[in-house]
Amino acid sequence: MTSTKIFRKYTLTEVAQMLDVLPNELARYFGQTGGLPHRLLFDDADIEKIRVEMGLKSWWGTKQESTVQDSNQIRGLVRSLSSMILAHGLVRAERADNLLRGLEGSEQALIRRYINTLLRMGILKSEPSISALEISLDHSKKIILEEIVKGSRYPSSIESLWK
Amino acid sequence: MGNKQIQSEITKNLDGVLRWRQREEERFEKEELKLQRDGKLLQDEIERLRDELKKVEERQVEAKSERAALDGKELEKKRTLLFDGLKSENSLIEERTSEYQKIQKEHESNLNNMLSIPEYAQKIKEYESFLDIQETLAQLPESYRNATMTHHGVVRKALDPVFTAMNAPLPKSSLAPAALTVQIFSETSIEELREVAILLPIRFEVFTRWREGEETLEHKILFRVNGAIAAMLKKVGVVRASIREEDFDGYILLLVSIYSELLGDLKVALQAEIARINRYATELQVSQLSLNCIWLSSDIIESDEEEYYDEY
Repeated sequence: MTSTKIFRKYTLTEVAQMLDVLPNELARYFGQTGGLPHRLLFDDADIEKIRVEMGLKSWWGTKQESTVQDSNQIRGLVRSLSSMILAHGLVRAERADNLLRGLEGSEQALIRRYINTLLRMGILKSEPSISALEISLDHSKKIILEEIVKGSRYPSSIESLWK
Repeated sequence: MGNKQIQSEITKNLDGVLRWRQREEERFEKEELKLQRDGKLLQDEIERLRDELKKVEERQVEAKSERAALDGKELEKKRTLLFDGLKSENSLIEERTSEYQKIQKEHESNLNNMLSIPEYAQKIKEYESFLDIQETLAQLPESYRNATMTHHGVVRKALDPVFTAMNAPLPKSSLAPAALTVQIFSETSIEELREVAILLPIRFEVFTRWREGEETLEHKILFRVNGAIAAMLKKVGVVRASIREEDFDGYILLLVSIYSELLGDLKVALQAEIARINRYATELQVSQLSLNCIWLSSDIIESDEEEYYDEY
C-alpha cells in the first residue's frame, strides 16, 4: 500500500493489532454493526470509532489501580489484578480482554490463566456475547479477592500460579 | 445217445422257482447297487447342501453385522471426503491468494506511479497540510478560513483522478471461477437448534498465528465468515451466544452456541449472509472464488473424547 498518509489503508489484521483485539472478534463486531466493508481496508478515522464502539479499554495501560507491591512478581500481578477488579466492581459485564490489554507475553498468559481460575472458582461469572467473552464479579465471593489483595490467604488453585 | 431223463412237472416247476429266485437275486443285487449309488449321491448332495447352508448362515451373520456397520462406514467415507475436500480447497485458496496479491500489487504500483507525477505529488502535500490544520481551522479568522477552504476545494478537485484510481475496483482474475465449501454441522432440528459448528478450509494456525506474515485470502475468508455468523445471530434476534474457534485436525471449526431465544430461521439467515459475502466481498470476486454452504449431521465431526477447555 502507498506510504502517502491520505491513501494509507490498513488491513483488518493491522487494525486488530493496533487495537490489541482478536481479528475474529473485530470481524464479528462488524457483522453486528452493518457488515464488513466490500474491501477489507480501513483508514485512521475508522480505528478510534471501532475502539469506542467495541468498548475496548486497557486495564494495565494506565497502571492506575495496579499498586500492589509484592516480592514475588507473579503474585504481585495476581494481587494487582484482584485489586483492579475490586476497584472497578465489575458489576456490569466487561470484555474479558480489557483485563489483559496492556500486558504482553508471559505476563498476559499468566493473567489469562488467573482469569480462567477465577471463572472456574465462580468468583468471576462469564457472559457469552457475540463479539467477545464478557465477565462480571460475583459479589458474594469478593472476600476471596480482598484476602488475595491483602495477601492474607490464597486459595490453593491460585497459589499454584506462582508455586 | 443216452436216455433222456424226463423231468416231472414238479421238478420243472421247482427249477422254474430256482431260476426265478436267481433272477430276483440279480434284480435285487442291481437295485441294491443302484440304491447304494443313489444313496451315496444323495449323501454327497446332503453334505454339499449342509456346507452350503452353513456358508449361507455364516454369510447371514456377516451381512447382518456389515449392515450394522454401514452407518460407521458411511461416516468414515464422509470424513475421508471431508478431509480431502478441506485439503484441496485450502490449496485452492493458496493458489488464489498469489493471484489476488499479484492483482493488488499491480493496482498499488499504478497508483504509486500516479502519485509520483510531480503535479499530483505537490497537490498531495497541500492536501495533507490541510488535514494537519483541519481541526484548528475553527480558531482562525473567517476570511483566512474561507480562503483555506476554497483552496482545499481546488486541491481536492485536482486530485480527483487519484482518488478515482484509488477507489477503482480491482480487475477480476482470468482464472476459472471456483467454489469453497462452508460445512455447517448441526445436531437437532432447525427449531431446536442451539449449537452449530462451521468448518472452513482454513488452517487453524491462521487463527492462532494471526500476527505473523501478510494477510492472505485465508485470513479474509475467516473474517468474512465470522462477520456473517455475527450478522446471522443479529438477524434472528440472538443476544446471548458464544463463538469459539476449535482445531479440527488442523482446520478451523467455529463453534456457535446460542443461549437466548431464536426469533427467526438460522439456516435462512446464514445462507443469506453467505450469499451477501459472495455478492460484495471484493477479494473473492477478484480471485473468482465463491462460498457454498452445506448442512450436515454433526455425527461426522463428533468425537467420543470430552475435552476440557479454558473459557477464556
